[in-house]
Amino acid sequence: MSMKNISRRKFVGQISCAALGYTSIMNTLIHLKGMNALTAANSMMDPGYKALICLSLSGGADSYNMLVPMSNKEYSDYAKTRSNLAIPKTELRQIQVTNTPGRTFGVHPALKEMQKLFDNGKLTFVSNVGTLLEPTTKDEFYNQTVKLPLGLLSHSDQYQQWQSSISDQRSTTGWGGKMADLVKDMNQEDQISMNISLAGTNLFQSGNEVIEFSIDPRYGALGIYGYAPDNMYDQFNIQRTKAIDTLLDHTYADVFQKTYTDVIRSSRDGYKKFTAALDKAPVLVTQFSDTDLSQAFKMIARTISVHEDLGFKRQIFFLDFSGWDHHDEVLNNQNQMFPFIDNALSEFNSAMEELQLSNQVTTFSMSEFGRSLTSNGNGTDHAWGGNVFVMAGSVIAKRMNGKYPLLTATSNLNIYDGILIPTTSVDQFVAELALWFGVPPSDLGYMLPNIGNFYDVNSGKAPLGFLNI
Amino acid sequence: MQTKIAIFIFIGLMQFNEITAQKIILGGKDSPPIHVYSSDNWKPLNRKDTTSAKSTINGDGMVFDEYNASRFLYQATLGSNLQDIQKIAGNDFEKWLDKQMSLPVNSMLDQTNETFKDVVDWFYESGGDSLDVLTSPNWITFQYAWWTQHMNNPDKLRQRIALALSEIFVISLNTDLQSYGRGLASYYDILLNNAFGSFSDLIYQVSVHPTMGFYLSHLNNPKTDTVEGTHPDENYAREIMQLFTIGLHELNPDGSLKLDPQGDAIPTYNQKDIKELAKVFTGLGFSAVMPNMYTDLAVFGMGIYLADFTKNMRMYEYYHEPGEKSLLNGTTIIPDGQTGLKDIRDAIEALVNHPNVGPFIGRQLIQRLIKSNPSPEYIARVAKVFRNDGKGNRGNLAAVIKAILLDEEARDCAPMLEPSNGQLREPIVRYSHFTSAIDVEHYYGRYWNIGYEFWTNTGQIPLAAPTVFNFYSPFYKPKGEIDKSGLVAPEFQIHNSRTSIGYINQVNAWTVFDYVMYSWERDDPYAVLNLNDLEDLAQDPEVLLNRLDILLTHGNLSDRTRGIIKETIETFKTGSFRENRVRMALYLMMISPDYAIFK
Repeated sequence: MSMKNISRRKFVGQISCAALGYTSIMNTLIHLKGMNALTAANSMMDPGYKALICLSLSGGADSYNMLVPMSNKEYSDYAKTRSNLAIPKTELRQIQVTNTPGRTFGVHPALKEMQKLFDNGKLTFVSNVGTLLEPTTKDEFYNQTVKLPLGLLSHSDQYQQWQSSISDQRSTTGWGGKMADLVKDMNQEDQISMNISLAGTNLFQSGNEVIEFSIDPRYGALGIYGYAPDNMYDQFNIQRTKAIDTLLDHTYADVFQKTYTDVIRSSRDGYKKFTAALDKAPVLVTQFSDTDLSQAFKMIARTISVHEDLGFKRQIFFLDFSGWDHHDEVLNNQNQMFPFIDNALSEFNSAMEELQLSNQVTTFSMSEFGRSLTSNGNGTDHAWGGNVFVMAGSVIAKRMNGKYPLLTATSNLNIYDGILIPTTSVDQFVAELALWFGVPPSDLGYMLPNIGNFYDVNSGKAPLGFLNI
Repeated sequence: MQTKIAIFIFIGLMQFNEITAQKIILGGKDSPPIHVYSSDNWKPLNRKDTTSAKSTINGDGMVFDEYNASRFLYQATLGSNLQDIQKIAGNDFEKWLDKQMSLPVNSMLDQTNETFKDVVDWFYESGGDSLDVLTSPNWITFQYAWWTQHMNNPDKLRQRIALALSEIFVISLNTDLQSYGRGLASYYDILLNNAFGSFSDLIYQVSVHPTMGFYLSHLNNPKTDTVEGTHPDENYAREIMQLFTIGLHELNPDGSLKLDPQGDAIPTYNQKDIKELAKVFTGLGFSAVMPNMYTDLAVFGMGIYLADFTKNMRMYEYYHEPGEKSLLNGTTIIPDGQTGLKDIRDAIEALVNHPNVGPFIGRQLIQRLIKSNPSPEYIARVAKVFRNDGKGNRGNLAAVIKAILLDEEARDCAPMLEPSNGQLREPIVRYSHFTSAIDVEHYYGRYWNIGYEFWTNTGQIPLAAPTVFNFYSPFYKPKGEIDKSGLVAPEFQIHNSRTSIGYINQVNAWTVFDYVMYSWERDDPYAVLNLNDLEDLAQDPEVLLNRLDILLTHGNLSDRTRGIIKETIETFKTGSFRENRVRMALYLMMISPDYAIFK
C-alpha cells in the first residue's frame, strides 16, 4: 500500500486509548533496553557489499520546485514561467554547486537536511532526466522526425518506463530485476530474493529470473499465523502446518494455481530466513522518525545490517512514496510532503554511517515525469523531464549533473507551454548506477537495450559522472 | 469432475428414488429434533466418491445444478448461501437476472446516513462523551454501510456490478475524501443507480460528481488565464479517455489492437487532444454547502471543508473556457457559444460513440466478473451488444451485463476446461463471498465492518485503490508461467509475499479466531460464525467437504486438495472435534488454490 495512506496518526487516534497506551509503554521499554546495549559501534564493514535503494515518488513530482535556479536572470525566468507557483527566492536554500560557473541553485525551503547532505558531498542531483528513445530536440519533436516513448505524459506508461528503461515497449521486466539477474550469483542466498520490496509487487524489481520479496515497511516479513508451533501438543497447529506444507508441496498444472502457490511457498520460506536474521540485527543508535517513510528506511537499514546473515553481497530495495500528482495545491502539498523525505534521507544516511556502510549504499529517487512549468491555477500537469536526487557515500561532491535547463517560456526544450524535453535519458542515469553496482559495461545492453543511443559502453568513461565508480 | 457428477446422479436414481419427491431435508432447519449426519456409507467398490448428505436423503441428484448455480451466483453477486443456490439450481438464470434488475435500488447514501445515526446512538448508549462523538459520516461509516448492504439487501446483482464499476471509474478514500462518507456513498449511488442503465448517463454523472472532481482535479478548474499564465488542468481530460472510455490505442471490435502499416499500435489521442478536452472540463465547482454558520452559498474556487459532496458540481460559466474545442484528432468539433454543461455532454457523447468503448469496457467487466483472459470472440460478442442492445440503444449496460453473464464462455463446460480459463479471485470478493456462504452472526444483528485489517493485509477494500489505476491493471502479467503463456492476471498484482500471507492470516482470523467482522465503535461485539449447520455435517468429513465444495468451490475441489483436507480434519476425533473440523476445513478451503483461482 502506498505511503500516502490515511495517516497513521489519524487511525491511531481512533483506536481505543488503552491499546495506544500499551504500545507506547512497550516502545519505551524496548527503547531503554536498546539504549543500554549501545556501547560498541555497529560496524558492519564489508567492502564487498553493495545496496541500491530506489525511492519512487509516484504521481510525478514537481521537481522544478525541488531544485530551483537562483542566479538573477535564471530565477526571474523561473518566477515568470511558474507564475503563482514560484517559490520566493528568499525562502530557497542555496546549495554549494561548484561545476556551474555563473549559475547558482537552491533547494525547496523544506529540504534543510538535503541542503546539508549536498554541501557535505553525500547527496547530488541529476537534472532534467526523462524517458527517451534517442536524443530529442523541439523541432524533431514537432516534426515527428524522432522516435518517442510510448504513452508520453501518461502515468502508467511513464511509471513503467522509468522502471524498465525501455520506452518503446510495454516491458514485463524492470532494470532492477535484470540487474539482479546479472549479479545474483554473488549472493549465497537463494531462499529470499536479493530484490526486497517495501511497496509490494513492482515492475522495477522483476527480472527474467528474479522477482521481488515483499515485506511490510514496519513489520518486516509476514509469517503464517499458527504455522510451525513451538508447542508439541498444539495438535490444531501441527495439523495446520502439515496441511499447508502438503498443499504447497505440489506442482500445480494450472498456471494460475501454480503462480498462486509459488508466491505463498517462497513467502513461507523467505519468512523463516528473514525473521531469523532480523532477530540478530544490532540496535541502531540512529533514531528514525515515526513516519511511514522513515520507518521503511529503518527497515531497510536493519535488513542491510544483517546482510551477512542473510547471505547477500548485493541487494536492491524498492520503496514507493506516492501522492505527488499535484494537479491541485502543489505548493501546500509539497510543503507537507518534502519534510518526510528530508528527515528519512538524513536518518538513513546517519544509520549507514553508523554501520560504516555509507560508501556501499546508494539511494536514488525516480518519478514518472516532471510537471509542467506553467500553472493550472494552483497546480501543475503532467510533463516529461524532471530532477532526481542521489544520496550515497560515493557521490562526487557538489556537482550539478545532467544539464539544468533554462526555464523560459520560449526555451528550445519547452514544448506545449511548459513541458520540458529531457536532456538526459533514464538509460544514462541507470547505466551510472549499474556500473557502480558492479555490472560490467559489456552487460549493460542486457539491462538497457537502447543505451547505445546515448552512451558508448566501451568508452571507459562514466555515463554521467555523479558517482565514484 | 464430470465423472463425479455422473456418480452422484447414479446414486440418486438407484438408491433413493422412493423419496425423490420429498422436499423437506431431514436434519435441516425445518426439522430441528432430527439430526442426520450422513447416510452415505454405501460406496461402490474402488470408488472414494460419495454423495452429499442432502442428495443422499432427498435423492433428487441435483448436485450438478447446485454447482452450476453456485458458480453463476459467484459471478453475478458478491456471494450467496445454500438457500440462494438451491433456489435457482436448475432454473433459468436469465429470469433471475431480469428479476434482479427489476429490484429497487437501495441507496448507499441513505444507508450511510442511517448507519451514521445508529453509530451515534450506539456511541451514547455505550457511554460515549459528547465531546468525542463523530460529527459526520466518514470513510469508516461508508464501509459500515457497504457491509450492511452486502449482508442484508437482496439486490445482489446490482451490488456486484457497482463494485466492478468502482474499479474502473476509480475514486479513492485514500485521500481527503476519507472525511466525506456522504460523498463517497453518493458517488457509489451513481454506480448502483446506473449499473443497468446507459453508459453515457453513467459517465456524465461520474464526471460531474464532486468526489470525482476532487479526485481528478477538474473541480474548481478555471479557464485559461493569460495574465496569470495558467492553463486548464489536464488531469480529468486524460483519464476520462485513457481509463474510463477509449483507452490508449485504437481497438478492433474483439479488443485486439488495430495496427498501422508499419505494424505499430495507433494512439487514440495526442497531447493536443488532451489540451482541447481539458478546456471542456473547466468551470465546474461545488453547488452546495453543508449547514454552517458562515455561508449558505457555494462559490467557484471554495475549499472542500464546507462543501456538500453529495450534490453534483455546477457550471460557473464565467470560469468555463470559451471558444471552439476540437476533440479526437479533429473528428468532433464542439462549437463556440454553448453552455459549459452542454460542452461536457457533447464531449462525453463523442467519447461514448468512439468504437473503442465496447471492447475496452466490455473486456474489463468480463475480467471482473468471469475470467482474466476472455477470448476475442467473447469480447466481440459483448462489444456488439454494447454497440446495439437489439433495440437500437448504444451502451445499454443491462444488456451488456446479461451478455457477459449468459455467454457460452461464462456458462459452458468446454471453455471452463481451457488452460487459459481462470481468475485469481480478488481479495475483497473472497471476503464478501465467505461472509455470504457461511452464516455470520452479530449479537445486535448489525454488520458494521471496517475491514481495516483486511485492507492492510491484502491491499483491498471498497473505494480504497491506491491510485486512479485501481488496485491492479487490466493488463498485468505476473512473471513466470502466466506471462510465458501470453496471459494476463490482473489480481496477481496484489498477490505477493506480503499480501499472500496477509490473506491467509485474515482467513485464520475469520475461521479459527471467529473474528469475522469488527467495527471501531466502543464495546461493539465482533461478528462471529454460526457453524451449527456445518458442525452437523462434520461427523463425516466427506459430507462436510461436499457441502463446502458447493458453497465455495462450485464443484471444482480437486481430489488432491479434498484428500489433504479430509486427512487433516480426520485427526480431530474427540472433544469439540466437530467444531475443529469445520474451522480447519474452512481455513484450508479458503486458502487452497482450488478456491483462490476461480474457474
